[in-house]
Amino acid sequence: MKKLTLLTILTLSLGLAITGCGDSRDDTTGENGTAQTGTDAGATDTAAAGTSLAGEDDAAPDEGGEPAAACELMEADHSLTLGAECDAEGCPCGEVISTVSGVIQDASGAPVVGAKAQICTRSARDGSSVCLTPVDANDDGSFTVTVPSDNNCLYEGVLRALAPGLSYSTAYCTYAIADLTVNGGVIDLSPTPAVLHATTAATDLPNECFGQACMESVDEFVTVNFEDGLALDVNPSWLFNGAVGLKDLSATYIDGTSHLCNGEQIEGAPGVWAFSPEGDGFEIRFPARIPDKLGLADGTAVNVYIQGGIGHTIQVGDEKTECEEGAWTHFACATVQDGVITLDETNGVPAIGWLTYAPAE
Amino acid sequence: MARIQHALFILALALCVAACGDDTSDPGDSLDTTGSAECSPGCEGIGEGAGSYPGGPYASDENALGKVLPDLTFTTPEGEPRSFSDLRNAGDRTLLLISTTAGWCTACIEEQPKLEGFYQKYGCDGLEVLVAIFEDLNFNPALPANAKEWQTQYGLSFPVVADTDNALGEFYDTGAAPLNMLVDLCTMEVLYSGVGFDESAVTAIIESNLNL
Repeated sequence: MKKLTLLTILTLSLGLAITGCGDSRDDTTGENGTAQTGTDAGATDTAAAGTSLAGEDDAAPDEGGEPAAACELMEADHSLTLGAECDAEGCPCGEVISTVSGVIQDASGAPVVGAKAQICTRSARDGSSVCLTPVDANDDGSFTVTVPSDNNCLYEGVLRALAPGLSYSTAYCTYAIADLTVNGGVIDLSPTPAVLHATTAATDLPNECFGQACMESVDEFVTVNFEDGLALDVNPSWLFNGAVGLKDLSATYIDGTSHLCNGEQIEGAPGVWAFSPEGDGFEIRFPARIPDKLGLADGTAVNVYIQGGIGHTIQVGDEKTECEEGAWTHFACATVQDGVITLDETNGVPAIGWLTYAPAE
Repeated sequence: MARIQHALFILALALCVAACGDDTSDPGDSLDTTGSAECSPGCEGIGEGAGSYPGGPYASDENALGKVLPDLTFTTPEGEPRSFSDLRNAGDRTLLLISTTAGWCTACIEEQPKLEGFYQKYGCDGLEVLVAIFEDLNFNPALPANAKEWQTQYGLSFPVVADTDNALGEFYDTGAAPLNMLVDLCTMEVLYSGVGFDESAVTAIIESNLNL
């Protein structure tokens, strides 16, 4: 396997003033995350990010009266710049890939009828991205994606596995090509299947709120309750999810880390909530009441995270930045009170996809 | 408050573009532009009442480079048909940058701010930008609502249309997206076509063809 020793990686300052979205790897552990991007982004304190991120207002002081250290948020930086030597014959900074195969299954290991695999890749020549045409999974859950020859010198990629229109979570699996075994241009991801978790319809979805009509007509927060006590206040007019609306909004709580197809997990998190379908809050945050699964004492400071999905963004003041797919983003600091973590309009959930929290240090 | 801020942002963009003579106060309908002396006057043979669309033979497959694009018709966010002829009849642009997109295409999302940057930088020199969305987030054929959401979500002041039948898919390898294509609006000849976004190549062709 080639080592990417010739890479010149420059992390640019796209998010200098926009903290809280993007890379939060200092808070996470991973097997093969795409550490090529944004790894040298420095920590920025919450005050610099603005109180709209709720750091000062919501974080519980530690015993010394200082704000919780975990309320420092990382700078966003997803850029990748490769040196001119990478744009040469033979794909010197990556691998030439012809096909990618893998497996999509549900939590029991069974195939999911109607599942699709969609892969976006980053070029090892110039760092640019393309997304490959999605393919249907076979009856046994397997899939094979052909990589076009014009865009086959690859550096990294993200597999998005989903069951469109069905109540399953979407899985994002991130890969650095250098960490994978490549045999004759073929990558086989099947040893680590992408898992789609069945989601359950909201127990309390306002009747007047259906689909696109709701998106057009309801410009206020409506409370959506889920079976385990999680509650979101969603403004349908500001939920961007492919014009699908709210009618099929569903979620599930997944204990532990079985949701992971690879890569990062949040240290200390009890599990995660997964939603279907995904959606971005555009320029607003959705207030939330998150049930504490860890039995934390009142006043315990926690960090709250989302995993980046397609088109997911975080608005901080007047600035908006995109979240990296498959990477956990620390977006809020809050405290536990009476077994609930409460987020409001200033530090609420910026995008609906994957959600979790962990106690602050 | 956020909505007001967004509206002000759109208004500011519209005013900026209008200052260049381009009436884009309604981003979704900006193909209805009529041009202005402050902008590039366009080339001979295009503009309102300019006459017929360039004749063939037209491009008919992936090998579109150097060939003439047929007069394709798309759908605006408001559900109105918009064709390349409509674009040419606007008369104040000479070069067209077409970019395909889909709701599932992260690479396309990454590209949108760059396209907006091109539009702001080169619009008054004659560049028009057109994003054509062909599928939604769930891989269904795109509808006008998807074009509207895309334009709003990414704050685009140039036209976004739904290419419900994926008509542009005939002219590139649809194994990957996005397509980026530069077209001479006078002749409708394809000057550049590539999957992915080669910013330096696109910039060079834009500046060369706009004599910058």
